[in-house]
Amino acid sequence: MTPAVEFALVAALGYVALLFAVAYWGDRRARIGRTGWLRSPLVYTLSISIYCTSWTFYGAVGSAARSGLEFATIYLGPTLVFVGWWVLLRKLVRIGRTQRITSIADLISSRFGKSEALGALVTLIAVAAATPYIALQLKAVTISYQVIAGVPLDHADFRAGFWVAVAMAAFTILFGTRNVDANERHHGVVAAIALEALVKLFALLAVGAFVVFGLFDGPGALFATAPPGFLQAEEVFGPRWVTLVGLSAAAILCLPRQFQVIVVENEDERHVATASWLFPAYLFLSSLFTLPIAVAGMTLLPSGADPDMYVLTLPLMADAEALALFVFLGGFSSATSMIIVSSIALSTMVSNHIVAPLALRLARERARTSGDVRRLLLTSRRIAIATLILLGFLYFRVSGASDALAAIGLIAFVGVAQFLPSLLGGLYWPQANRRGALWGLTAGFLMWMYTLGLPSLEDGGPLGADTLLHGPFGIALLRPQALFGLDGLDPLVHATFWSLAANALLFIAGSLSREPHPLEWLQARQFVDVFRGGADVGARERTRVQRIATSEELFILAQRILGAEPAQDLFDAFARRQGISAGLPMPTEDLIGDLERRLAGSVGAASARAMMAQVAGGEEVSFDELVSIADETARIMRYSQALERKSDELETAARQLREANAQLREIDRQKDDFLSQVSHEVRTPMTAIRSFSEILRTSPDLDSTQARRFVNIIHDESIRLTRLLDVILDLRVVERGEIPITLEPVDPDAVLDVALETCEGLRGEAPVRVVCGTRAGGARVEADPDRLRQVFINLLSNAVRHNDKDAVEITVKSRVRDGRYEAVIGDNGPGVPAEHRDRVFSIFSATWTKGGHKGAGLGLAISRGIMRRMGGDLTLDAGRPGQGARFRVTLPTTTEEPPP
Amino acid sequence: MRDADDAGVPAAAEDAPRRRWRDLAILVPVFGTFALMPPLIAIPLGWGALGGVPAIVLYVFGVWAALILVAARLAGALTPRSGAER
Repeated sequence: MTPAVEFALVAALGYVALLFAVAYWGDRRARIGRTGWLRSPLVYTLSISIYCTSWTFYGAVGSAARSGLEFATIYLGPTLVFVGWWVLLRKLVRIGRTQRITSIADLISSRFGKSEALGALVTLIAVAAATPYIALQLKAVTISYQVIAGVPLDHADFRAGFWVAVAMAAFTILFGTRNVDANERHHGVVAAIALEALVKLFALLAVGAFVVFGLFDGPGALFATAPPGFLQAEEVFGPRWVTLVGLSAAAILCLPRQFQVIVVENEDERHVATASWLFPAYLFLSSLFTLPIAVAGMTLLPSGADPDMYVLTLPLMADAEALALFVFLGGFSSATSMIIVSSIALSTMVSNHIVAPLALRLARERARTSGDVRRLLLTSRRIAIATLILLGFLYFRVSGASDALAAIGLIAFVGVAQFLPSLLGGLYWPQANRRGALWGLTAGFLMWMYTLGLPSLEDGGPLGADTLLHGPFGIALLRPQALFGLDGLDPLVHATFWSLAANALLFIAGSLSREPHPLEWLQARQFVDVFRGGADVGARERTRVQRIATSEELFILAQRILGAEPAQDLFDAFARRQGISAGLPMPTEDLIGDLERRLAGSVGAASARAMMAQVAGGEEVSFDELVSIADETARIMRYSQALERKSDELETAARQLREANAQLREIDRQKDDFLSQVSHEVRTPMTAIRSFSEILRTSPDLDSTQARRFVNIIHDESIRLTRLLDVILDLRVVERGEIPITLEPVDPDAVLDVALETCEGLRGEAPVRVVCGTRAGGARVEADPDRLRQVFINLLSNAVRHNDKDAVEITVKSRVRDGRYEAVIGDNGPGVPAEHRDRVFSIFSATWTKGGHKGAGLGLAISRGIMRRMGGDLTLDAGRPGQGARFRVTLPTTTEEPPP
Repeated sequence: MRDADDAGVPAAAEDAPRRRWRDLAILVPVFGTFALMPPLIAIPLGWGALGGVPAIVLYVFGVWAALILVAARLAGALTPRSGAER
């Protein structure tokens, strides 16, 4: 071994040791609760940067050297997804948090009715896509190690790859399987990943700056040395460009490790907002120098040099050994961080969707002890991590010599892109169901294997070179790389087209071929409508799904999965929530649902449901209940709108009724007053008549003068009675609008004068002075002179009767204005209180007349009735209190002359 | 978009600017996709070089940077006040 080899080896070992130390430190900080820095959006973004693996660290420059700008597609796709976070990522993260999703397999399984089959299928595809991808990382580490150590590249030295695999497996098992709940962050791992993200970024920036400003005089000089026509090829922006942008956009969502860091380990939705620009910025920076490095490599390095290693060979060529070592560590970082997170994500999927369902079936009758499931999960995860990394190494060992590995990154992208139809459909299309997802995923997976996966192996792998060239059994139409005669396309574009087309088509066809089952429908509502109270559907669901279990059984189940202590804590929290200070909580449906969700965070939704079914009975929903649940939200909204409208209407109606009722009460009261008034009025003359006639009857010796006087009184009283009854009769006539009226042209002032004369007789006790103001003079109106006089007399007599002054003064004025004759009759009495202004004209306003002896107070109502019948009106002017009342009589004027 | 109307009830008047940001958030990836896809992206091929750097390179990285800047502004405008979002 040369000293350089040893130094690189020491550096790599030292770096791995540093990773262990950082992870240990991160875990310790988390355990004593000081996680502030580890929970920041910056660390969240840095952990997403595991997207940049060694494939992109080294391979991007290689791709740029071969195809110019094409390398950028791998970063532009994720950039578009992240700047569009509001549309898709936000929803994905929200669902992941509310449903305690543990992996992309869990998401798809959970969405389509907590299906175990789907979870297993997705896990299978993910493992199939990831194994070569891990192999690619090991290859990159091995080759870069060989380059920096000066070992010839003609045969691969597998030792470096092997020890890296061992170290990463140990690291991941140690720090990545601390807790069984996948939603709990592995803080040690996160700390190490964040460090690695920074190392690889700064390594790329350092080598880029070194190349542009150290080896060349800035970007202009550098690009001037580019081979002619480089970057000018228009065919770069063809179907392959579009496909690659689409694939990388799908990969950032569907790669298990990306799903793990973006969705599963997300702790705060606001971090997504920060990552929406910070992660694209990270990609931008790490791509900034890709083209310059590629151009420099093509210019400065011999033509046989591997473009994939330009990043490393350029500083080596320039004897910048420290920089080369830094770059080597950067590449090492990008490989190890990918291996760590990939194996964590995949091991969770394997343990939750393959091991747990199998164990549940096999160990149905076995004794259940506290923490047994937890131990099973953790053990299976550890074994899965070791197995996956070992598989990756074996793959690398078997195919290491071939160049096929170079394409593996993209092959993996196409593989995981098969999740996309089910993922998007599951998020936005309620009708999408398990059958569609199963059909689509199976078809996509098979198509991917047939058109891309297998042909990428040496000689088509199990297919054989013959099949690759001429199709199976010589059927040219089924050639894997020109399916159905679709020839002349780039193999990647070809495979992407056929696999995704078959996938999406069958997904849609399968989903439309049957109605969603009740549980699928429920889950669909919770996913699709996550922003519209979908999560609440779950809460209502629990009250309908009747599951019965004892608290002890539930507690035992929780202990088995979570372990004794966390289960105890959880149940203590449940009990506190139910207000129970000691002992187990009540086994309500709420609690069962909550517990299942909590357990789903550890074993996945499908297994959690199956385990819950063992103790609490199946989560069965009848179709009728389902329909009502599904429609509930909509129905409640409709109801509440309708109710609101109804209650508005009712309120209006009630208000009107209240008003009408108040009016009725008022009228009723007025009628009572009126009746008592009338009885009083009638009673007074009747008493007189009765007592005087009594005297006449019982006293035969009454002298004639006396008798005559008595008879006169009786006569007068009878007349008064008759008059009173006449008035009441008039009132009824007015009430029905039946006053007989004959209209003729008259001079109203003349009628007023007659009325004034008539009223001379009324003047009794108090002196009355009539003040005549201006007169209209010669006005003509259509009126019934007798009735009009009656009105004037009524007003004049009111003015006298309702006066409390010693000297009564009546003002009479008249004029013609705007074609109407107006007569105003005022007095110096007390006036009408404002609150009685309306009532004086009402029929039963007898109360206004304080003294009963002055009449029943019907006059004004009758007078107004008469005036209105004649086309005029009688109103009371608004006046200040103490100024007396001013009644105004109006009539339309006419030009007709009065009859002679 | 389904998400756009997730508020369900008419937003209050002070939410109007936020609503416009939200609509922009939905459109930004659409604009970005247009700008970075053929035929638009092939146009700068004919523009030659600027300061020695091919125009197409400047165009791709320019659009990229613009997307990042707009996204940063959007993130600031749309980040839910802690716990305020339903």
